[in-house]
Amino acid sequence: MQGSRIVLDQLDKDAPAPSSARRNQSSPPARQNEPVAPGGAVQSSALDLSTAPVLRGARIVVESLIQEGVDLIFGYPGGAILHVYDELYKVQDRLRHVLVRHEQGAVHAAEGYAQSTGKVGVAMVTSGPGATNVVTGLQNALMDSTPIVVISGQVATTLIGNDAFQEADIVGITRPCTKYNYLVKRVEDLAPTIKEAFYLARSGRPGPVLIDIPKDITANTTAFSYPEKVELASYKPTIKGHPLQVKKAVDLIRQFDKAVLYIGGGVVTAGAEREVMELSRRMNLPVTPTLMGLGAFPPSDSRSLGMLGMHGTYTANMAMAKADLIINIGARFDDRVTGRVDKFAVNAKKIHVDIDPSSVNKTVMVDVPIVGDAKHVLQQMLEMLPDEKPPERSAWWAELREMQRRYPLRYKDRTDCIMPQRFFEELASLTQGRYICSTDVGQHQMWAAQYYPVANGRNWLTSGGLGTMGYGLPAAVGAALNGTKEPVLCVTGDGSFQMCIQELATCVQENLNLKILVMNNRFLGMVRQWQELLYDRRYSEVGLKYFPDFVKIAEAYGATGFRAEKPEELRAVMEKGLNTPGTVLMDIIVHKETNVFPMIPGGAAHYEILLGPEDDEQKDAQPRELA
Amino acid sequence: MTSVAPSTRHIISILVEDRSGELARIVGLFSGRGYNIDSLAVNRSIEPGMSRVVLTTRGEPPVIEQILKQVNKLVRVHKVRHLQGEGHLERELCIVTVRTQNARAREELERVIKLTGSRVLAFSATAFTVEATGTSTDIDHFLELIRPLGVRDMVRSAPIALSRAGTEAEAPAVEVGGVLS
Repeated sequence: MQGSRIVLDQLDKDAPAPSSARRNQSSPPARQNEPVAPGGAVQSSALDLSTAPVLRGARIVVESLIQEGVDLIFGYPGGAILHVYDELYKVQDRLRHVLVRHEQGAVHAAEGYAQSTGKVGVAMVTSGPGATNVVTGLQNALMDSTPIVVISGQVATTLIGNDAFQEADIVGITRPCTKYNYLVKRVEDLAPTIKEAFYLARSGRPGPVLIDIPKDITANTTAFSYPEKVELASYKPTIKGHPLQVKKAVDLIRQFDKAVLYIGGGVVTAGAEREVMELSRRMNLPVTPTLMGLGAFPPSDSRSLGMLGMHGTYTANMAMAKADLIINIGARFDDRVTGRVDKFAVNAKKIHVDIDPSSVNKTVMVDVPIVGDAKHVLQQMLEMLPDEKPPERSAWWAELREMQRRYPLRYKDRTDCIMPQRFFEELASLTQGRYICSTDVGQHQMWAAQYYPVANGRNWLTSGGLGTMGYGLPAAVGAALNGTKEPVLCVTGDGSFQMCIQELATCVQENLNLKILVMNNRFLGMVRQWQELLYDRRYSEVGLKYFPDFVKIAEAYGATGFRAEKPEELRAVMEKGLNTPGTVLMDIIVHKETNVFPMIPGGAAHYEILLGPEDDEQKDAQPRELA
Repeated sequence: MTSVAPSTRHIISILVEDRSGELARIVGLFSGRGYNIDSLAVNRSIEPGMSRVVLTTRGEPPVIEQILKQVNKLVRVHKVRHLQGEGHLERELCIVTVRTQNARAREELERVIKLTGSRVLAFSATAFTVEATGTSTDIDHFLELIRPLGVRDMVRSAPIALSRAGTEAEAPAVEVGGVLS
């Protein structure tokens, strides 16, 4: 073991180890750089922090992350962040770094990790192009309120502003797409900044925070002690709802008959699923989740109306249109839900619970705004509810049941090709919705939302606000590394998949138990659908005339690939794929020109719902004006 | 009268930590969300480490409500105040250089100065530089009077404003009037 010893000593002196001694051949490949002490036991890199040791900035960064409870980060090294990567090498026993293949993948992976665990996801990148590549992920996290911290390297403070090599004003670039961002100008500020960044990322309405660290700051030294607390006089999120407002809300819920509970991602963030269930049960309320709220209420529950919004169920959207009371918990009246705002639920009283005051009365004026955390406010509501028999709401429920009976999700199956909906039904039946499922963006995303019975909100990873094609695969990577023993599903399309396809390498490198299902219709399907319905079938640049053989691509990356082309082989291929260990890609060739229905066209009122050709009663299902 | 009244001007006073980039956050918020800044004044405040930003914008009440909420949401913004109506005192500074080629022009200028209570900052044989303070409307009127005399150069600051009914109980209630009032 003498060789290992030498490696360690040399590392501590920051000297490059001779390449022959660098690899410890006895270690598993993914952890080949593990520091190994004489005798074979892993030597701890832990420091005694009680003495406030003098450390260089790079070490302060990694020790701060460890103090913050981070044990996994996603990243891609480069010149400006080299000092930090050198320290990461030394603390591998306490902080795992997963090398992605593109910085966008690092941020989406951090998002997938955060979304599936509720913890803060962390990504690390270098300056310039490394940093500009995180912009999409930051905006995605901002719109979906996902807590992540991105650490970017920056050129040395002496070079900032000189158009130095790999310099970009990333704090300027990311100012509008982060909850907050920092340029650290003194090594003494590092630890307090990291502490504050994590606090901001996870508290209130969560979001992305970026810390830009110039290279010389990571080389400078100072005494390190990690702050215990954050003091931010100007930032105090409201957690408890105002009691008078909560009382008003409770009175409305008891008073109005045709009420509907409209729940969003805020319920998942707050962990308020039980409270939503209790409110629905005690007040006999129908529930409809948004795309981001899927899983927050069991889709199998009799009070669930299914998803709301542009491709939500007929009943969910009509329930909102016909309701006399809408109770919005942790959603934001997104335009994909409201349709034309001036026609949105004009007759309904509206209660809106949101932790972000600026979400209230932003697009839709509400009657009872309550600023606070969804879980706390719901608990307050439940405490105020008298212990009484749940209201019948019999006429309302009869109306909803009739709509559900007449206009369920439906499609005509075919024998000559795989219908996309059939594929999603098979997926639902094979998995019962118990696995984490990430999606990309487009038709497959909407069908997954309609058919995959998400068991809980943390199992559902999708790019809701920004609609980022390319999110799915790296997000699944992040989720698969969150400690889960179950396989993680990535449902994607032939368009989206190619936007972050390089992360297949990360999947194989980390030997992830990831099942990628490519819904392959050889089209950018959602755009094609709009062109069919709204542009008189002028298919402008939506046909993927050339597309690679995804099975071969999977194999080239060292994953396993299967293909299903015929309906009769679909289930067998999916069973085989789901039961094959490691990273598996299933290329599901589906009917090319199937549309997602129901659909509320952009700019239409939310009750102007297009149903599929299968619905022979379609005409009378489209009330142009509500009674 | 069918003409639609232009949306009213609103003064927003912001107390923000004096750190690099914070002004950019405020300004970026306005451009990013499609709000307009008509004028902007920034300087140190009486509280150490804090800057006072006074800006004017236009919009219907829901827009102004959103602006106030969005600004308030900024992490380093400590206080946001909406100053409107009689609830505040407001001053704007204007410096203008006027050509005075002959005695007649100088007399005319003297008349305007007397009338408006403005002040001469500098003069030469052919030009006077005059300073005026007042509300934005006062300055507009001042410039209307002085423009026909031949303005060579003009600069006006953004208005600054202070709430009359502050937290201090002894906040002055009777306005004595600006130079122009």
